[in-house]
Amino acid sequence: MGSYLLRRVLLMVPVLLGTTFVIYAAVYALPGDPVQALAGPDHMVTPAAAAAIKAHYHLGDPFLVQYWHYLVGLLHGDFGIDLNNTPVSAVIEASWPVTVKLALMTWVIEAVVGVALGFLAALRAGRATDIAVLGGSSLILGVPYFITAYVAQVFLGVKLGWFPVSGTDDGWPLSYLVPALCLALLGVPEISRLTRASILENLGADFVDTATAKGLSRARVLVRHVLRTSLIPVVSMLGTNLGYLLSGTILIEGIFNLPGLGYQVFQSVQQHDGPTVVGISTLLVLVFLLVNLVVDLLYGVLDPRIRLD
Amino acid sequence: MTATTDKTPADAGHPLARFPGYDPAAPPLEVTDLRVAFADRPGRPGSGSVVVDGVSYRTEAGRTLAVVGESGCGKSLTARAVMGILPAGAQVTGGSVRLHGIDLLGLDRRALARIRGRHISMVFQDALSALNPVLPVGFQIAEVFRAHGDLTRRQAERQAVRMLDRVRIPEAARRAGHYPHQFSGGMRQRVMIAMALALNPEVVIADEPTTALDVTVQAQIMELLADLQAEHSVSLVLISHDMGIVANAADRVVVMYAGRVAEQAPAEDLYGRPAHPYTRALLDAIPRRGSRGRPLNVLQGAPPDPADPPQGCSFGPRCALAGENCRTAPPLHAVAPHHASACHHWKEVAGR
Repeated sequence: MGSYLLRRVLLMVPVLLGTTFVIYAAVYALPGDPVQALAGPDHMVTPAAAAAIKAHYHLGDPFLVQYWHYLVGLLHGDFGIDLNNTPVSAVIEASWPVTVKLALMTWVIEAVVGVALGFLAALRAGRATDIAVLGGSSLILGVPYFITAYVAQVFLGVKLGWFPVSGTDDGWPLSYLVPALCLALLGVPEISRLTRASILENLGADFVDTATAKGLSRARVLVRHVLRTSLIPVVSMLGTNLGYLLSGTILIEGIFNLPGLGYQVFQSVQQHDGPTVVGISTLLVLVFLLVNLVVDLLYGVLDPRIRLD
Repeated sequence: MTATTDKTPADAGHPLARFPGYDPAAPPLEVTDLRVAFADRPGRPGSGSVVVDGVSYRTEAGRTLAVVGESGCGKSLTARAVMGILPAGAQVTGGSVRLHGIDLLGLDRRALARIRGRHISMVFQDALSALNPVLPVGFQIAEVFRAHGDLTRRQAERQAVRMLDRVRIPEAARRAGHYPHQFSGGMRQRVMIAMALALNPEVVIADEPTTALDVTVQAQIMELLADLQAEHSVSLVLISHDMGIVANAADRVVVMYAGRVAEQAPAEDLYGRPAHPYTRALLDAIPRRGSRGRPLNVLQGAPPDPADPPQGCSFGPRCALAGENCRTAPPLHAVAPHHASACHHWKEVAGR
């Protein structure tokens, strides 16, 4: 177990190096002049000022030297300074709570609704409830979620006025409810289908007959033996989904104007703000890797047959 | 019918006395004319087939009744119908199952749950798949105690350890925390037995309890079952296709073929004087000392397809004695007291 953990953590190092390198290179390759972007399109930049800025940001150095400077800073916990002269770490600090709140809220909705629907569909397999869940899932998956998001925004926010249209002025949970629901729509069909399949598989298992033959009540058989065993693959998928949610809510944060990490990345890409893009992306990769590690460790706890070594 | 009015006070205190029909003098388990069929859904394979067709047997306290027959003869389905755990699609279409007079098929789900595991229990064939892979074995045994009594979790777990000890699992207290995959096949079957015998039920059905085990472990398990049976005079229904095991363990034998009882007799009668050609074929197929080098008398052919049963005697197509009169289904002929054979030619077979 200990050596497994160490190996997994050590494996993260090359992955992180690789991803930062790729992201850094991608930002470096973006067309446009960062100095001009910094000054704004209407300002003339004197050659002396441009040179000073270039020197300050190491912009004149070869690519690999720039990357090296960045990496050394990162290892010291320094995410660098963005083009507005704010430390990137300050940007991250201001925006991560928004993303975490949105991600967790989405995740809880996904888990509760997905598992409940899957459980219901499995118990009524082949009957109306099951078919309704399947039909609903297919319909939701068929519509791109940014369309759902815009429709929800217009309908629930503008027309009915039940929820804030955008921004975080109304705080948690009100401002996050509609965005979280829209995001969860993406995960619910997935989770419910997996839960249904897994439960159906276990409903016919021999150990379920054993549990019934022991004289356990139907509810206890279903919860303790069927659901408990069926949730193992579901937990794994939920974990991976949390990783995605924490690292990739760019579109929804953009649509609903929530100043989270995804929103900041989106803005920075438009402004050619390399340090912010690379810094936040690196952080998101790290979070994703850590969440996956936790899921794998959890798997070993949920299924005693799996040995982590 | 009220169960308590005409009973002595001792009987009224019996936990089964609260169920209608309870009669302490009735056989522990009595199956009468039981029929099981798969639901008729056109287009589905096997739909509408009658897989158990009028099976009757009864058990005695402290005795072992063996049910033998080839795979697919309906011996396991009969047992599952008794326990109320038929596979999806199969259903009881007739007959009755009585436990000390209580009609199990007439009970609702909750009443049945109070009887299952407490008064009648089952040892399954493959303990690895019959035990929940993600729960410790101690917990799974403790569940029986908690389902049928007001024990705390702690007390139930202690009882579970006691049971593991009773089925001779070494270091029971430590092993209780282990999962099924951490046990050997024989030890797993002991866990199953511990679970089935936890509350000293009146009837235990053991469905091929030793099939997945090697021969020395088989002997140990059968010995353990016999010991535990003797301790509490359990009525054991042993389902098997191994005539050798049955010869050692059974007091009475029911031979099943194609969903019906072919022959039923006390064990020594059945082995000494079989009165059904199918029974004889089963006995002839047992390897014996001196049979080395000679081919075994293996019964040729396969049992009939339940979706398309032959007319008359279902064994007819494989029977050397089959004649004109076998076009009609044979009734059970009394060969001797307590010995019956469903064969028109039983006299020929028995008198060879």
